[in-house]
Amino acid sequence: MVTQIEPYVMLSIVLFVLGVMGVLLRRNAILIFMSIELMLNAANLSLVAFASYWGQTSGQIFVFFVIAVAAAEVAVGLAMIVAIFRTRQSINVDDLHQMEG
Amino acid sequence: MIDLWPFIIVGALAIAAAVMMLLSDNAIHSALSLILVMVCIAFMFLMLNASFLALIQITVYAGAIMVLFLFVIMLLGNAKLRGNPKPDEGSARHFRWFVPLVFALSLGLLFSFGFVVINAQTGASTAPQPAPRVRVLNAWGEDMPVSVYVDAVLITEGVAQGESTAWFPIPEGGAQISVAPGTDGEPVALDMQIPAGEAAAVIAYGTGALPELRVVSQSTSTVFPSSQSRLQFINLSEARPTLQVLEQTRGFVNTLSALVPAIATGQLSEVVQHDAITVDFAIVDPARPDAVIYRIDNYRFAENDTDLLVIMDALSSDGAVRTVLAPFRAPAEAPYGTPQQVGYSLLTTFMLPFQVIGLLLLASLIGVIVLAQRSAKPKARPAQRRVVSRPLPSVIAAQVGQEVVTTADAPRLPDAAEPAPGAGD
Repeated sequence: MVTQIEPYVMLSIVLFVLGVMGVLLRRNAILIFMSIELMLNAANLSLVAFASYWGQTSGQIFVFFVIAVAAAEVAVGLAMIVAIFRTRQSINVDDLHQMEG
Repeated sequence: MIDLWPFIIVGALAIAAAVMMLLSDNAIHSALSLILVMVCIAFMFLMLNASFLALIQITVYAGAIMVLFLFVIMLLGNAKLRGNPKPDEGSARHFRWFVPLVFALSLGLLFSFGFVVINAQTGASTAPQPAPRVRVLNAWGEDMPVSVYVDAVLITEGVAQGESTAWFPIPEGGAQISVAPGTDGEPVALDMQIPAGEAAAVIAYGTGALPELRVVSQSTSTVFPSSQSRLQFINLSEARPTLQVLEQTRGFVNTLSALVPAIATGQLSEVVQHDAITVDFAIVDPARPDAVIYRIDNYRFAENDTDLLVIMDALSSDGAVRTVLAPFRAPAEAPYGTPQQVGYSLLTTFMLPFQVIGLLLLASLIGVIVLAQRSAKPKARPAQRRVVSRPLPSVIAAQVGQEVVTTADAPRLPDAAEPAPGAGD
């Protein structure tokens, strides 16, 4: 008995594209960060779907690691956003241009 | 087959919530929509038989990470985060119909959760079946290690008498298992086919120049209750026709009992469940229960184990045949996607990545503390003045060997406030 995974992969693609659109279209740093989380979740969904398809645990372990890395990333990223907001009073990514060449 | 309607409802809710997250002008609304997306993905994990990850997804993602997001939004002030200064003219106005849609789909999510949980409880959901697995037990009379081949590919060599190989997968369409004495002996082959999700043991036995093979199907599912152990006997001794296994438990009262009825040669006993305790085993002839043929002292049953105990003929070095009882243990495997199974592979195969992730979390913890301390006092540095003991011109003058000019009688430019005479036309 094999799990049918095409619908899950389709949903994962749609969510990933929505996340990419969020990163490209929004200018608010927190919303960009949330879109990155959405992309991570879409990738997790396809990992679990393929793990279920092959009947293997490895995919689920990778999802576990992705969740742990996402937690670390969110903690550091939000701390950076707060630090930037305190110095510049804005988290609009268009305002952050002191590193441009 | 997936359960189609729950999938469609929850998938549509996930996409609608993701679109709401993208289009909302209010950062708090975006965060709440993202929480809804994560709950939907947890539901998908549940449908894909990843129950442990579904719970992790809700506690870590929807719980911890999103609460962190909401805290930061609250800390920075929601009004300042609005991308559009006039919310009425934003894109939100064109998507008013999203709110009732998401509300209706959320109700669907609740019902779908109930449906999937009931399916899981009644066993109607289909967990993925792993490939069929086989292990080879060496109960051959000659005291010689054997090599094991699957379709002429070497799997393991040097399996000593009384030992077994680890579980290895075989193709679902069937495979030829060969067992060869030593490393380059003549192999004995056996064609076998077992369905996916099942397991079998191939026992090499006999006292001839080549081992004979026998297939016994094995259950690797979890033993319930887990404090028990499952065991099965097989009599492959040609030397004695019928044998009885006696068990002596040692505790407050010593008891001697027959665990299974007498087993004839070539016969497989019933599977019995046993408490995970230490016992002594003895093989006797049913006609003469006093004369012990072979005994194992202090046999410890491990919890949740499936043991196959083989009564076999072993050849001594002088050619005499002894009947012995060889235990072959196999730990039961947890069902797919359960916390037990995920935890087992985390702590065995993925131990190193697991520790590296722990290190990464520690590093990010330190990084966050450093960032928080930097941003806590941003104005502390400009308030400090460098204290210079001598004025800078005198230091330079001393280095280039010029005379030191005191500031009092040095020529100086007029102040900018009072314009120089004659300069204002």
